[in-house]
Amino acid sequence: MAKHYLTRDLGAITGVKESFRFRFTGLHWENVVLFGAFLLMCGVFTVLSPAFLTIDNILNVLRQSSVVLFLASGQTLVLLSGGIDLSQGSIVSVVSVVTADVILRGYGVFAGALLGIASGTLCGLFTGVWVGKARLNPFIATLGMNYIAAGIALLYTGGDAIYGLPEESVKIFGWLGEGYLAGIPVPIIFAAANLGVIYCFLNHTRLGRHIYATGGNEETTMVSGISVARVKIWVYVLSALLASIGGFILSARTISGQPILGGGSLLLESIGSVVIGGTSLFGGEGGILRTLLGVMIMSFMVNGLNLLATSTYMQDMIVGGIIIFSVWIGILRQRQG
Amino acid sequence: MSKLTGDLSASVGIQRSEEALRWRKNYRQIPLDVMVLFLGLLVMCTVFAVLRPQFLNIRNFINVFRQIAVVFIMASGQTFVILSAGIDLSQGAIVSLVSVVSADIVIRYGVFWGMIAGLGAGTLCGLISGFLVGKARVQPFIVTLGMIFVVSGGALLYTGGVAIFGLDRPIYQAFFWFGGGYIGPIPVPVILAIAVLVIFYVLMYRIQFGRHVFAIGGNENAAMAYGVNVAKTKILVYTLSGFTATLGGLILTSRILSGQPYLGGFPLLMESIASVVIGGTSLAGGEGGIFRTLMGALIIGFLGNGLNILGVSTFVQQIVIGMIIVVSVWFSMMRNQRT
Repeated sequence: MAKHYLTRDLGAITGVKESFRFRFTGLHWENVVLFGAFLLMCGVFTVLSPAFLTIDNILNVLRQSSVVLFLASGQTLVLLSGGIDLSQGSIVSVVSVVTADVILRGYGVFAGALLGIASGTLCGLFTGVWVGKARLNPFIATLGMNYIAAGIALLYTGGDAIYGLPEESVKIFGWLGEGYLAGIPVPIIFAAANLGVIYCFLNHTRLGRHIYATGGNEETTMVSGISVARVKIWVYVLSALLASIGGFILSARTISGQPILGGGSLLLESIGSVVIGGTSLFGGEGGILRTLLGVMIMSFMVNGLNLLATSTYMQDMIVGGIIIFSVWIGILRQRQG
Repeated sequence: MSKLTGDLSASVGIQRSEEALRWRKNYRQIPLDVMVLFLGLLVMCTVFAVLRPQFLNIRNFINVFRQIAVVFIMASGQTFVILSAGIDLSQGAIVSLVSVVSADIVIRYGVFWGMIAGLGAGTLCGLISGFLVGKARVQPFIVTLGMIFVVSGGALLYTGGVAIFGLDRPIYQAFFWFGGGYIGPIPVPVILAIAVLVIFYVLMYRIQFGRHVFAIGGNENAAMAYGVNVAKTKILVYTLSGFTATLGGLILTSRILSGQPYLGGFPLLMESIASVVIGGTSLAGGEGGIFRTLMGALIIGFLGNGLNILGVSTFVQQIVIGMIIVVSVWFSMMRNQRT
């Protein structure tokens, strides 16, 4: 046992440089294989369905996947730090009702976005303090927050949806969810910006690297003088912030406030796409580009299967199979290598 | 029994002796932990009884126990999984699958075959998870997350997304008895829950299998070094969890007399995990037990009932349950740090 610990620590210390290089270049051969699989899948769909490789279809898929991409980016940060965020779905619901209510009261879309996203992020601050300072297990802290935030969203509206927003606000609000800017759907622009910011954040800022370090080996990180508590608080705040932005875009698409907006499979899709991308549940390994690939695989596969008129139930089964299989392959490879 | 713990701590070295001690302590189940939870439950019930005397009505109690029975049965399987340092997220989906399969087969081939088919389908899902976790060594979270998609998709595919009705005819009365009947004054689900409690107590504390589960959860490498068949034990653990979810699914299906592909969603799974966690079983594995889960299920059940009687909205109840999850784990953590 002692030997096991020793080698693990040594590996963490000596392996640091190498693994950082991998992260910076981002060209791990696993990514290449995954990308190859993605291209192959798209190729098959293109052959089988002429509607697949059209600009309209691709823009549509990208727009739909932008919300999941926001949630999954937040989830990536949490998983990289060695945690998990189960509260994202409920946070989406909170953001939806708060945003819609503020707009309904006539304060405008900007105030709605600000207060809605702030309220969602506040939930993340709580879980962050629970996990970082009180050292609660992330699964439990976010499970608890999942209940609490879901209850708050329902309580806020008494369980009803919020409709009938003021006319002038609906124009802007709806544009943010469904509109176009220079021919590109607005949510895609948001998602692309998010991608760039998170990529730079993870790879070129100190906090970003500390997230990797915390997930890779928490004790070593602490010994190196990094405040693990601070890193963790940030991670959950950022995850909630990104989930909140996703929730805002989703509400904009429905032009209403729905207290159960995030109660469905949104959370599972968020975790599922990060995992398919190959970010490890144990932390310290993975990255935002892999998550992008995971989201793309999930959404283009669902779209392709839709075009082929496969039932949505069958699609669920295929997605589940891919989640298990993609991780299984990784494990088999590790054991051989 | 004591020979095993002695050997284990010796074989894994000095730095693990503390853990082995803790393991032995938990293996014998300090009654103190369970007593504290029980006291909390009593205080809570007293408060409800003072505020609303009808809370103490025997009919109300029987009703609450019947509701708790399903959650407790599922949570007892979950307890084993969590003790082995895993997690089973697929329990809710299994409930849905069992519901549609059993309802369909009952209508086609009769009650007996319906029950067998339901039990078979649900337990098979658990077996598959167990194989993937134990043999293929994929992380439990991923396996059971994938199984949610696969199994709930399967349930929906089975019926084409619609519910199966037609179980309310008198010839299917035996099926209804399973979830809605009584033996004397006691509802059948409660008797099933008691049977599960007894059987799981034996599995957990009286035979080797239980000791192996605790050992794997405490330190998997050490358990393997000691000669515990980790793969086999894990397969059994997930199969048991699937089986308890199946039992829960059968009871629920028989109560509502229809096959619902959405019967076991996320909330049911969350209640199952929450019962285990509130009871104080550690998600890190190796610490906890079936009586704590019983306390967790009772606390969630009576809390919901009491707040209902007080007229508190279900929305507020969700918030309260969330807080209890966080606070209860926080308390047990602080207590562990002090000792």
